[in-house]
Amino acid sequence: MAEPHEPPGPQNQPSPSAAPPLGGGLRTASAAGQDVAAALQSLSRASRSFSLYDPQNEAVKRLIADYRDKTAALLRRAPIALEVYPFDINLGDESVYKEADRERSLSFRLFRDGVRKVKLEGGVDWTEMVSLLEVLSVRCSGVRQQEEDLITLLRKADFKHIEIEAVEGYMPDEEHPEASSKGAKQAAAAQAAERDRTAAPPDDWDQPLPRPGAGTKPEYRPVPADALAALQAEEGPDALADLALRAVSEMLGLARELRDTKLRDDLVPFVEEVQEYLFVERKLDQIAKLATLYAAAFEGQGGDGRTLPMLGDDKAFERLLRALPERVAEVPHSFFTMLDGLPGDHLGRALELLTTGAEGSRRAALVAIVERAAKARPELLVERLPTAAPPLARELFTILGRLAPERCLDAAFELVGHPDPAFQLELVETVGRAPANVRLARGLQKLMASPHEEVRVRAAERLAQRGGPRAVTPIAEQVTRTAATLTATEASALGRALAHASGEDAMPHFAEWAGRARGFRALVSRFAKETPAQRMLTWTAVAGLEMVPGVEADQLLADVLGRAHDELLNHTREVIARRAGGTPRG
Amino acid sequence: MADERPNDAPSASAPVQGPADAERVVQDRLAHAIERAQVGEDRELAQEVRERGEQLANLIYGLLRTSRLYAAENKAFDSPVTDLATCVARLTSRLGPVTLVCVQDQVYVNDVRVRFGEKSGKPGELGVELGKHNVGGITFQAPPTDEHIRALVGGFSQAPDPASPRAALARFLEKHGVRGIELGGINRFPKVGERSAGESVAHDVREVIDRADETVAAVWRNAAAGHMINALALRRMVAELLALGTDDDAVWKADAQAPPHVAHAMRVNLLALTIGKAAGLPESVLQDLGVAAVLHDVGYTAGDELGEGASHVASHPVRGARMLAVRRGFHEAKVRRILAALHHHRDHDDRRGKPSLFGRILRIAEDFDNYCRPTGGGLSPAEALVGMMAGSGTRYDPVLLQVFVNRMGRFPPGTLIELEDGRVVETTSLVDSPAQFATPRARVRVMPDGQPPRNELLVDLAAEGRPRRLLRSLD
Repeated sequence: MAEPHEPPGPQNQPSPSAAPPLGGGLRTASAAGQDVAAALQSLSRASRSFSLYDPQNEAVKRLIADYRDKTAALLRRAPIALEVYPFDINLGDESVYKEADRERSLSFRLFRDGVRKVKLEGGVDWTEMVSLLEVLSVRCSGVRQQEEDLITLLRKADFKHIEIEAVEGYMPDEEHPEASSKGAKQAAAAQAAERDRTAAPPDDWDQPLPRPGAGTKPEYRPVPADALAALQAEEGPDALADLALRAVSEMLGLARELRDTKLRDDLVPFVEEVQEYLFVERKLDQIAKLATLYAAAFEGQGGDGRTLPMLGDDKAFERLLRALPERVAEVPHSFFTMLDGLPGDHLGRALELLTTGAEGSRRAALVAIVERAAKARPELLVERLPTAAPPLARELFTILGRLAPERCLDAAFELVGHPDPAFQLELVETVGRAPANVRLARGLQKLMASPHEEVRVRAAERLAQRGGPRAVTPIAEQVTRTAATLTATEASALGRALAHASGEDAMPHFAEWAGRARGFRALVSRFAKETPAQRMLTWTAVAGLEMVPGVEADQLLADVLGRAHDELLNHTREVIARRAGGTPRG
Repeated sequence: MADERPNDAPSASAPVQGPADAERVVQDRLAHAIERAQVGEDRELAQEVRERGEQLANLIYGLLRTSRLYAAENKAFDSPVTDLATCVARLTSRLGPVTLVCVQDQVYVNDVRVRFGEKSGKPGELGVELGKHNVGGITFQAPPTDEHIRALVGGFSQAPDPASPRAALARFLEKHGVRGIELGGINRFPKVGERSAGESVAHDVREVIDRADETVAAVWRNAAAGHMINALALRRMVAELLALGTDDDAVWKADAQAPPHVAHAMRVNLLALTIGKAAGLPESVLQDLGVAAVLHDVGYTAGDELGEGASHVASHPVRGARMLAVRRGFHEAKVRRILAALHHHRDHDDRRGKPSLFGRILRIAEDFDNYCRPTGGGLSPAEALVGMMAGSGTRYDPVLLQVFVNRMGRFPPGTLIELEDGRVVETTSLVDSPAQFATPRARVRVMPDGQPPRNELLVDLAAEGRPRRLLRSLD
């Protein structure tokens, strides 16, 4: 029987952590009884959870996890035969569920709807237990369906290992049954007969019958399995959306054929129901076709073409996105067809939704929307870049690079101050591909001032690669300026970048930093305490010298080796060894 | 449920990465199921039934309580009596006859449970008040007048008759000219092992079929009166028939007392379910098929909205589809029955396209019954089948027709055969194996001496009796 809505309330809120004793202080004796009791309690909570929480709420997930755990123990006990009473469920003589509160009670709900026995046969598995939870969840969700009740839903579930024994509604309960008064009975019968006459079809109903042919004698002929499978598929789950569309199409077609605008108007609620169903089922192709049918139905017959209601309001954009199937290789064409018909700033909404973290096919669709919209107006994308969150900025920048490389380069120069290191690395690559001119150099130098080491290193390397000898001065200045804060890694990278740009031009810097002082300076340097900056300058030089051929480099390295200690000594030894093609001595 | 899930919907058995993913998959699946159920809800109707049903229970209870203090003519009743009349009028305009039933401490209005007494903590009070007169429920066939309600209140305020309180109350109502208010007995929920659905149908086919006939008749009456078609009641009935199975020949014979259109709807229903089961359709689809079969001709109850000139046979599919389409609340079954109503007279090779599967099944089931029924073709079932074979591939889906033929056999149930030994038998069995195809079981109707057998006499034509000729009737 159908149910009144069960309003959420704190008193109804379940908690997986709230363990038995159940409701009225149930005590189960056997181990099997305890497993069954725990599973039933968990089933009860999980099935009510959707009336209390949003379906995606974490609490629901926890309750499902609890149900899974408790079910695992239950399934090991199968076969299990449970008897259902208004406030109890029994396993044999043992009460395994007790709940006095009718609103919360699983047993009362089952009993009231006619379930009297539930048998879990051997072989019952998690999939069937989920189906059972599904049926109960639908019944507990407060949805009042005009077409189904618990029993019909359970029968439809077609369980293989769960047997439900049910009774029909209610039965007379009179010790001494009373006959209705004869007059009342006759009056009721007369009324029913009169109404039957009114409801009866005309005497010649279904006439004239088609003439039966001179047929052949019927013979038994096996029907091939594939022919039966084809019939079954016609009413299978995948066919329902097309059937719904066909129903709408044929009914609206009839309205048009009969020039019956009342029929057409009467059908509007049905069309709206179908659209809602198609959205829930995420059948985008059929939604698109429905929209076309609907618009056509209102063209030229007093209407001016109508937009399907769910595609005509402010939420249509988000609704379309939600209707995307979770697992699709490609966003369906119909998605964009419908999107094109929606008013509003799609790019803006797509960017907003991307910012909030869409996933899967929805993210793919949003990116595709951005690509489509920005193709004609890349400036919209450029405008968004400075304020976009770093991951989105990177994605948008990549899109911009694909759609409008020139705009992308301009944007890259404007964005070099962006705080995100990963994005800055992308900017280094983009800027690094710019024509060799002053702007390129300035851009990379700006990136060399990044607070992020990996960005500074990559920018220096790119500058060395693109600028050659001209890059030596700016990189050397960068080394000198930042020496005090350089790490060994960065110093090594900058040294190698200098050598890569031009070993010859870098040599004076290396010589200076390696500390090959002459005369008095050499004498002083032997006794003066080395500053961190001087130490890292030396480190940079040693790293760069590894790549510079010639005796002068050897000599400089030998000088450093003579006075270095600790890590610098090891670093220098390693460099010298690599130059010699051998391994460093310890 | 599981077999109704679209491919894209999450599956509990889909490969998953770990427990957390498994829970998410289940969560998504359940959320989807609830979302689908919500689409099916006619929220407006649901709210109206819920609110008015609750109001109905409270008004009746209030009137019964007040009747202890005042006579029914007292002005204290003016307002609640009018309110009750209005409430019932609104409900009947949507639902047709309205039945309030108390079952233990639960209150139902047309099978929908309504809240009563939960705030006061005395949910069973209405049942107690009605029970004083051995009454468990009240049916309003039509909106009552204020006078009828006062009479009802007056009747309940009388001291209950010690022997037959409900009958006495009914007589009181009759005496006061009250029509259309019926009193039902006290009910309770069945207990474990007591009258389970499966057992009841097995033990008493007659009872099941009578109940089914009444359900179908009520649906037709409601449809004719423009009231809501109670698809849930039909679905329950079909589910019960499916549990019973269509093999028992008593099922095929049991509806002889029903009005012809009801009997026709029931036979088409049984024939369609027989074809659907033989074609391997799952239970969920079979339930929908049965409901569609019962409603396939419902267009005959509609007024002539298609203008003069359209014949009944041509127009009733459209009218029926229209009636079914405008009924609020979505369900896959609704789509299926709209198409079934629309297509059930279409040929398999119709230029507008192949009819839906349900339409094709119903075409076979309905034509077969129309050829056989006395007010139709009046043919023997075996003759009807032969005649239909000529339409295989044109009028009828050849695969479905073969499925039907394979199950019905050369002598479908109900076929009268005169045997060479002079006996007349009526076939009773469907075909379970190819060997039975032309040799069904039968019941002897006439002995060689022209008299019916003294006791029921069954024969298996595989073992005895060679058919001489087919008969259309025993006359």
